[in-house]
Amino acid sequence: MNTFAHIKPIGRYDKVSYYSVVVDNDTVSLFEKFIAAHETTNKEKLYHIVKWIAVIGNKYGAQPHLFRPEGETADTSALPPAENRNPSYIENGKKKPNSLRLYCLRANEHVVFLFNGNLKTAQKAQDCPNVQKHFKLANQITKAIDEAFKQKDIHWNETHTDIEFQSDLVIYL
Amino acid sequence: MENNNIISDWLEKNSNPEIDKLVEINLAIANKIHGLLKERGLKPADLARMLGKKPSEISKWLTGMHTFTTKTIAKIGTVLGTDIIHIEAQKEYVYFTVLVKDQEVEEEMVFEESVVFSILNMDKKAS
Repeated sequence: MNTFAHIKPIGRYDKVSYYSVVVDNDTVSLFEKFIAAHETTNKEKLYHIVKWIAVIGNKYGAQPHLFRPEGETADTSALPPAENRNPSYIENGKKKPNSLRLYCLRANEHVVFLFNGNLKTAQKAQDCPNVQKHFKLANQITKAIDEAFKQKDIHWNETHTDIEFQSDLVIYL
Repeated sequence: MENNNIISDWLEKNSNPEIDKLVEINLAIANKIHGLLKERGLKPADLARMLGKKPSEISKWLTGMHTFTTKTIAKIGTVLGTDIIHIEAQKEYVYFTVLVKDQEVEEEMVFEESVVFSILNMDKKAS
C-alpha cells in the first residue's frame, strides 16, 4: 500500500510546468515509470502522448477542453483526451486509435501533475485490469495534492503560473 | 524547477518527425476552431447544430487528438465563414549580383516559387 509521495519537477515550458510524484521509497517518479514501461512495446502511442504534452506546454497551455476527466474520488484527468475512435497516432505509417492512458492532475492552465498509466482494455477504468491500479492511485494522489494546496504546503506563485513547495515536502496518501 | 526537462530529453532521444508534425497540425487546427468559436460567442454544441453532428463529437475535435479530413475542415470553414487553414506559396530567396561601376553589390529578393520560375524562365526540375 502506498503511504506517501514527494513532488518531482518533470519539465518546464513557456505555458505549462509539469510535475510528477515519487511514491514511498522509489527512486523514480510515476511519469518516468510510465515512460520506461511503454517506450519499447508501445513506443509510438507513447510518443504521441509525450509530444502532445510538449506542444501544449509550449504553445497552448493546459486548457480544460484538452483533458479527459477521469475523476472517481478526486479531480483526476487522463491523456489522450476524449474517447477517440478516430485516428490519433501513427504506427508503422498507419493512423490508429490510441488506447494508452496517462493519468494526471491539471492543477490549472499552467501546472499539470503527470502520473502513471497503461493500455486501457475496458470501457471503464475501474473494470480494466491494466489501468485500474493507476487510475485508483492517480485519484488517491490527486486528493492528497488537493489537501496539500488547502494546507498551504503547496502554494501558487504570485501570478498563479507555477507552484512553490519545500523540496522535502511529504504528501501523505 | 531543475533545468533538465525529462519530456523534451525523451522526445529528442526518440525523435519521430511524422508524429511531431501530426500532433502539431491537429492541435493547431483544434486551437483555431476553439478560438473561432470563442470569438463568435459560440459553444461546441452550437457548432454541432450547424454541422448536424453530436456535441460530443465536436468536443473530441477540440482536444487536438482528432485527425481532421480536408472534407471536415472545409465544412467547418464553410459554416464559420472563414478558412481554418491557409495554404501559402513557398517563398524562395534569389540572390542577384549587380555590377555598379565594376563593384559587386549583392541584392536579395523574395519571390513566390511560381514567380521565381516564370521570371527566370526555368523548369521546376531545373531548381
